[in-house]
Amino acid sequence: MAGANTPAAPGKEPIPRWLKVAGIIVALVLLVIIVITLIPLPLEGMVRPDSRNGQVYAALAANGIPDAAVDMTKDRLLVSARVTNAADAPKVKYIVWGAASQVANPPPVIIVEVFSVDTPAGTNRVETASVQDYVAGKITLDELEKRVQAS
Amino acid sequence: MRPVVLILLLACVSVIVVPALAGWEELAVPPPLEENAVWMRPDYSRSPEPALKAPDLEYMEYTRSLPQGEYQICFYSDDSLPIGHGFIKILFPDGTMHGFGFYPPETGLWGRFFNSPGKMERDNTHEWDWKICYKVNRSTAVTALDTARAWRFGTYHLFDSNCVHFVDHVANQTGLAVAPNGTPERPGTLATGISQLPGAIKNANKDKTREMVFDPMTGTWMREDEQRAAARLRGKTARPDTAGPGMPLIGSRIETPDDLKNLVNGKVAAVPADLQKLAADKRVLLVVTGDGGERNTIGFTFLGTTVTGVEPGVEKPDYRVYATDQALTRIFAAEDPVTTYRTALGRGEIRIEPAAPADMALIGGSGFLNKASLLLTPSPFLIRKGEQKDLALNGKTYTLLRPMNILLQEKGSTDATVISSDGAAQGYTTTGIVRAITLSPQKHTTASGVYTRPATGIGDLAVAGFGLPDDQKIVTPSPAESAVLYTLQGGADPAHLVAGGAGFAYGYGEA
Repeated sequence: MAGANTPAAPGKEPIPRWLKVAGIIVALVLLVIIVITLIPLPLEGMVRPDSRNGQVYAALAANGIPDAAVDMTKDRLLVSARVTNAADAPKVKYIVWGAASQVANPPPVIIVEVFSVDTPAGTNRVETASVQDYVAGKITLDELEKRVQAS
Repeated sequence: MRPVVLILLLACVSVIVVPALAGWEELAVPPPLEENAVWMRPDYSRSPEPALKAPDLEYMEYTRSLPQGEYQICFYSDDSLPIGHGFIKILFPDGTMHGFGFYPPETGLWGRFFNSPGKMERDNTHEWDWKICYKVNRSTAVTALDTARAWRFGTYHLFDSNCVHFVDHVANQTGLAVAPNGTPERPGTLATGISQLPGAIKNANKDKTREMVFDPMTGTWMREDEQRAAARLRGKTARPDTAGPGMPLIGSRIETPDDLKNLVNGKVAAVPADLQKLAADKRVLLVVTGDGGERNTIGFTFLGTTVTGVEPGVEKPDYRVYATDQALTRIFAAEDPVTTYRTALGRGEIRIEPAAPADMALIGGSGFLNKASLLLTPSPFLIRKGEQKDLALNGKTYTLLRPMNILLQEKGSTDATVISSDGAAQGYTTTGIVRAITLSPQKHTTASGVYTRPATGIGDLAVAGFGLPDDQKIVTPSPAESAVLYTLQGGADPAHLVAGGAGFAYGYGEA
């Protein structure tokens, strides 16, 4: 096996030591470049917007409720909405329910929190199935209201 | 071949190939934005589907209570100069009439032409030249009401979403015709379309605000005085419009591109001849910067010194005029518009440039450089929970804060970008939403209130250090795994920048 002290082949000059070292350094640098390039960027703090949140948000904004915090999980839809006029607070739930009724495979519970500016103006909780029954015309609005848990 | 030559050859190939391989993955064009993007400020006049499909239950209860019977839907065109209008009226079985018309806001001038909050107003007594009425059932009438309701928070846009678009949308939704063919977008074309339909009615009243009254006994529309006379003969009194107090005639508003054309032509005459020459027979692209930094374009086509076309843009403009909304508003409101124009020019509020060849910035940097920098230097976006600090980026000041997520908010803005610690945008939210989450006693997850949407000024984040022409602005970010894709606005060719955090761009690709 050829080594550093192996005599050069006849007619060929031996490779200088410095060139061999340079070659090793270049190879190491290349290796570092390859490794760094292929390392995936850190994903710490990754937030994945939920498209279903956006769907409900869009419906709320279209009905005059901008800036609602919409959070949908497999267990519940939570909407926190702020209104500037306290008189509008009772109407928010109707808009949220209407929006939720259009979402595919919605969670089983809808929770609506309303704030008049920054003052709590009521929280209510209803089963999504009840809302869907009203939209389908199976129950009246009064019957739906009776199924709401308010606090 | 000497080993050293082989090593050098391998080095050259690796430096080119490896970053390119890494870059190719990042240059992959993501799915269309429509599949994963939601507008933060929805333009529901252009696409009011969410509102149409999700009415609030209180309104639903109201429509369910409407009686069965014969309704009428009428489509109107007011073709008067210089301001035209389109609107609808719905006549209920009991004779009640509800008129609806879509308007831009009254504040400002140029800024309200584009993406400004529209208003639905009661057009019970608006002037009209032509109308067409259809007898419909309750279901169709409710559809028309639903559409009017969906537009009440709509966004007004001179070219895409004006009063005539509203009328046309109601017609589409109800399956009724306002034109034999095509889509009217301006009062003139709406009037032409209506006039060609069988059963169209031209307003014969001298006072164009007066409604031709529908006489239920004869089933015809007639002038109000004739109807009263006929009713007297029958021993009955005419039923007046009981829809409530009528709206006064709406003051002059620029609502449609034709209105804008007429306005500009009215002002051109006051412009000195040397300035008129500049625009004569030219195509001019006006780029208007609003108070919020948003940019919109209007293309003017001149024949001689007369504006003959007003469109959202113009191909191969001869001139580009950059102006602020405020400067344009002052000029058009001034008694001496020329002096006001020259003052604005001196202040730099207006800039005129001959059309430049389309040039797209070539992006330097590679995936390797960006990643190496991130690994070797601390990210300026690292922040602890509850902490807040200021950042200077690309000449602007941002606030970086972390209530639940890392938020980057331009000073003075109500919107905030949700970013990762390396600066990659992952979505958007508003201070209002952040506030609602903060107040909530229920537990919100970190995905709450985070949306994707096209951004405007925050796009500068990704291209710090790269010089882009002023009219090529980053407007369309889309979050990806570890990079953000931006679409350049303007320029001859649409293009994408793929950018990472810390202000470096990975590469450049075509849309």
